[in-house]
Amino acid sequence: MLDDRTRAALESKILRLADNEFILGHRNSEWAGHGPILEEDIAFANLALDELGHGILWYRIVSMLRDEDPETYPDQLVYQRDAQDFRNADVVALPHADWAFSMLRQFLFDAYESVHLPALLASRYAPIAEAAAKIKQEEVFHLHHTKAWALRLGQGTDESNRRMQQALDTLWTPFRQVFVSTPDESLLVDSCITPDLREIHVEWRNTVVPFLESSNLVVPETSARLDAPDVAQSTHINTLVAELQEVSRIAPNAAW
Amino acid sequence: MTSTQWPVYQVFERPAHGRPMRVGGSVHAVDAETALQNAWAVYGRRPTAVGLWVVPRRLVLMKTKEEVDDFTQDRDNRAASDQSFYVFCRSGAKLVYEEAPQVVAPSPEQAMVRAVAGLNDCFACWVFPAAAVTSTESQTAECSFAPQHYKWFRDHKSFPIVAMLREIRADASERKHA
Repeated sequence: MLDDRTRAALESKILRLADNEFILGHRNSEWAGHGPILEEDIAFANLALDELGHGILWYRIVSMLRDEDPETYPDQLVYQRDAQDFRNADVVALPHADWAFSMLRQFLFDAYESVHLPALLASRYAPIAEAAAKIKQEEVFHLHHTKAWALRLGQGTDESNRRMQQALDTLWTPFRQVFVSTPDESLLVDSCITPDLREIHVEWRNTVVPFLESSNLVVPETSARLDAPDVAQSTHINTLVAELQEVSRIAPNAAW
Repeated sequence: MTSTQWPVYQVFERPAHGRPMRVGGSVHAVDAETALQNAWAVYGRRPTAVGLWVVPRRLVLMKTKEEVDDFTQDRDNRAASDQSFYVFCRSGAKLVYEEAPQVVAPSPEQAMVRAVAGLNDCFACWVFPAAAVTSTESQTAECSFAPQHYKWFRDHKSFPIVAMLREIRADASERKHA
């Protein structure tokens, strides 16, 4: 059984995983109806929907840890939680600048998941391993899709390359926040519940850096330190959550 | 002026294991690999197909039986070597094009003539070189193009808008008459 401190650490860790998936999915869903071509509009909206689904899987585990109903509590977490209580990395909440930005961010995230999920499969906490197994099925396809786009935009025209480079320059440093530990995460690592994010970060870099370079992009220099205290959240999450919760704030228990 | 439209790829789907391929629809894409991805996103994600092919539409020769009957084989190139062609045929009664036996011919036109001659009830016919196919069925297991049976999809039949509107209108007109 988990002691109280480990349980609290687990709760904030899972909430972070959930919020990362959910907020990224929500941001990308804004492209629905605005994609570059119809086929990609459908494909990218599907990826966004998958991320929302992955978010729900993690929210259900949070529900279990809080002895709440896993069917209804995820809705509460999404629609009734204050913006400052969302635990996502700021980078997934950044508003999209252009298609290159959203595609590159989704690629960096998919690459992170492709390294992170296999490690979560080995978790000693069964619900994590089960959720990871479900999510991994879809992430294989996600990475395949976003890699194809990143490569073609990077190697494409002067303009597509310029936009990808700009997106990479904007996203590279903030994206490191995905690898910043949650409070007491070392307890989870010691108990083999979650992997060491420093190792995941190294593996992620080893995957994405050669790929970005082969896509004719220049990877910015960054310091290797990951253990910096959490970067202050920007205000993007406030705007996002205000819009997300607009209807449910007006009619909290509406059903349709 | 150069066109900004991406090339069209024809999509073929296999509805179940062991069943013949049939024409699914089409997608725009810059190349075959992304065409297959788009095809999967648009046609394959819902559990409707266990395998997908994409073929550049410019390589698909499409004719009705009538057109084939007065085909002049002026593009008959005797120097060309034989190759395999896939044949898809639409019978008079059906709306779908289904896979028919392959033919070997030196040109698409001759493949078409041979294909149609061997089919009983063919209203229209498509042929294309077997080499033009990019298929999920030859993908490695790494790339998961499998239909998502574990997911619950709602299709248009779950939203009986027409029936609902009919009821609403009936109610409204009843109230008017009352």
